[in-house]
Amino acid sequence: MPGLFDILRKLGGGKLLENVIKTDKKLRDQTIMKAKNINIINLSYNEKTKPYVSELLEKKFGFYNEKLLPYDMEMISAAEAHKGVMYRLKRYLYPDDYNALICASTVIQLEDRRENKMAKQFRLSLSQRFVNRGSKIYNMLRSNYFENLILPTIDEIEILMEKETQDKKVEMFRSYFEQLLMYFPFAIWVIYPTSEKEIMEGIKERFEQPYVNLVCIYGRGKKNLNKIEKVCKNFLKDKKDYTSTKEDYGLRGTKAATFKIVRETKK
Amino acid sequence: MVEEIGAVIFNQKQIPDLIKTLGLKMKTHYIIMDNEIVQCSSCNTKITDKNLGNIMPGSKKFFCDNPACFSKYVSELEG
Repeated sequence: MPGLFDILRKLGGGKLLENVIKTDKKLRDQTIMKAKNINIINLSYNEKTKPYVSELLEKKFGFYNEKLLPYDMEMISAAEAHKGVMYRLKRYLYPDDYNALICASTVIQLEDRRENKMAKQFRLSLSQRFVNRGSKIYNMLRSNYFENLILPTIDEIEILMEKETQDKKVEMFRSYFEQLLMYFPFAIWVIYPTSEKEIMEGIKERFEQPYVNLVCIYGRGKKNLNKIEKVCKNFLKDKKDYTSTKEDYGLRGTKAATFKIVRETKK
Repeated sequence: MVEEIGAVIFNQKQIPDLIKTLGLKMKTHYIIMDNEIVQCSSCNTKITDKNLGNIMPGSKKFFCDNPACFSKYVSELEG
């Protein structure tokens, strides 16, 4: 299969190659540094490249708005970094949920690198494009539920439904995943509008489920953390069989924490 | 393995010219292909000369300028 440089050679000989080399250095450095394992061959749209535009598009060149290029490369890089896991989930998730997962993984990558402004902007785009599903998928991925709950569930489905068709397995998984998106029984993600009453009801409701013995409450920002702390204290009053722990960390430069409430004896 | 991505980068001001160069038409800022207004392949937003984000290689697949819409292309890339 010919590489992109071969295509350029065929199309425009030395002139286009020269253009690649002379491409805006700042942009080139910015994109290449951010996208590991990806070799980006940049061309600027200008008088030199204009005659080849249709041919380039027919071959392997995409056209990128310069304002989006850093986000695009981050997404390709995030998908590349998690290729194994992503590929497995791709077979099971609805295509749009899978797209949301790629975006969520990008946001997390940016947050972990403390590129806060870009992460915030991209998270907003995620919510605009995928509405609530996007945010829920982000929350689940951020809190490692894909790794610790969803992938093991896929393992179980594959074992238990070994003799069934792939379509049946996918159908079973999607119905399970849909339920998780509607109501996540193992965790609560607290945002600014979430009231103390809602957190308390959420905890109580979850422990009503006989299979739930651990509820995690995730929050970031001082106000949210104070709210959760207060509710946890109130919930634990007079309850001997429940204990709680708190794990502090930082996210996007703000204080964040996971509060875990554990029921010691099974119902 | 190193992925090879070919990118032609345009800026906002160049969109009308790029559309013309690709042999497409414009009607009151909308991009027209085969007598239809071009829509974002991800979110179905109508594409104009103000909100064009990406055109994907190999086909005339357009995406709007919501960066999250590019994930549809990425999902097709690796797999």
